[in-house]
Amino acid sequence: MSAKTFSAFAAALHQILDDARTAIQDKTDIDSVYSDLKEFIVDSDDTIDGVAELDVVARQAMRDLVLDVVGSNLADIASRSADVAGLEKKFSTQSATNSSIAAGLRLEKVKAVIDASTQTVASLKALSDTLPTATDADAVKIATQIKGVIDGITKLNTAIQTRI
Amino acid sequence: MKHPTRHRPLIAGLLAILAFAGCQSLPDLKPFADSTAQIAASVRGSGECTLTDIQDLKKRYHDDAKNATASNRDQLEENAVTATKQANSFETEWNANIKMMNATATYADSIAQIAAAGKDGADSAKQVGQSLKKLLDSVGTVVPGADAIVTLGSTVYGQIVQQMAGKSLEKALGEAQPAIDDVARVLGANLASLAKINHALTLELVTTTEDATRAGFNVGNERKVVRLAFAAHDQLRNEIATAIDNNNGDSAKREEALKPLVARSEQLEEIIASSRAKLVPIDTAVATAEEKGRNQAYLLSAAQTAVREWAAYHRELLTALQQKHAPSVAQLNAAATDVREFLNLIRKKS
Repeated sequence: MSAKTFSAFAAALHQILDDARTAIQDKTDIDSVYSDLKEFIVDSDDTIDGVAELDVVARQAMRDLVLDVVGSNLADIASRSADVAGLEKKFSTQSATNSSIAAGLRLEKVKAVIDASTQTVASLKALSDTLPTATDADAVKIATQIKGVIDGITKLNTAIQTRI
Repeated sequence: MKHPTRHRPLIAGLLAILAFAGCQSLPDLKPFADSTAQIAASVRGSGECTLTDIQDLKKRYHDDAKNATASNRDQLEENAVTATKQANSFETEWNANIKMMNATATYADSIAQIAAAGKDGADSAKQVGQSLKKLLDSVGTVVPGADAIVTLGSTVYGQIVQQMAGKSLEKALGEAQPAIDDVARVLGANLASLAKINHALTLELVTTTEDATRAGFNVGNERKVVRLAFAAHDQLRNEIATAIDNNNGDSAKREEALKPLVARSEQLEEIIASSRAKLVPIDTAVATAEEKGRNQAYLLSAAQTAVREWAAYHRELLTALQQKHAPSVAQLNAAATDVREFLNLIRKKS
């Protein structure tokens, strides 16, 4: 830079700041103008009265450029946040549906019902064994009911067998 | 009870029909699941890097404010406040993107479950058969030939469920494709925005490293001194060569001509060495910051490519199922590998 007076340096900085404003408004790449500001600071003559203050202005302009780029791109990301949230929900719902389909294909519910029935029969048998066989009317009623349930299950299994 | 052997010709016939009809071959969903996981990891990793950089910048502005002049101090504090707000805002927004990718990873797992259920159909049926046998045993009922029945039934069911899984998978992939395309669009755009943020942060982190208030001296001036000293040294070498040529025959005159030139040369070498010594820690910090910025840029570029390939592959899976061919996985694997390598590089350097 061949500028030697404060006015010349001020004019040069003024031009770069105009370019910086344009870059911010147009959302264009800031590299060139950021580099121009850096070069201004390096090449300016701090021995001239007032030029050091111009350097401070130039350095602040560099921070403003960067914070503006960060801010405007954050705003762009935020503008898509509704889409992002919607997609998260969509995939969560779809995943639950798919997992349910997979469980169905694996016959998990069928197996669970059969295993539960087996457990019920075993529990009922154990209960039945603990009941007294004496004249207690209620106990006899319960034992009869239990036998009825077991017979019912046996009939159901017979029906299943005939279909295999 | 009907004798089980009477059903054997029927079952054999059914198996033959299924074999002739051509079984639905279920695609390998591991590449899709792996690439989803890689992309999710890159979204997390790049987010962590960026958040650290914004917080670093905020701290630098705050620290520099302490050493600044009165007029500059307020501005720097204001910059630190802005950076704080940006860090908080970024964390919130990027966490939402991470959640979105976690949901797509769960989706990838769920379609893999359908495929696995299809492939394991015979085993599932066998387990049900064995549970049924236990139940019958518990009520004291014995079915003759139960083992053979379970085996035959499992084989038949295995064939059937593979077809069912194929159809379910086709439906699931078809329903999800628009959302997959939306993820590619939205995440691609967000990754591009993140790349611009990272680039700007790298520029500023390098500059703050070189700031006089932080470095303790005027780095720009010191670099100028080194440049000028080298230029003067080159000039001096020419002068020394000329002095030697001009005084070729007379060693005494040559010595006299060279003495001041050599003294100046030594002075310049001292200046260069001294300035370079001051600049070494700054240059090292700058090089580290620039390398980090480059690696993040590579990762974000690789992630953008990967997310495009990922969406295309999901579409390819659907076509592969419909047309009964194996999907081509080379491009997806290459993209996922790039993402993994850049992520590992960044983790190694941090």
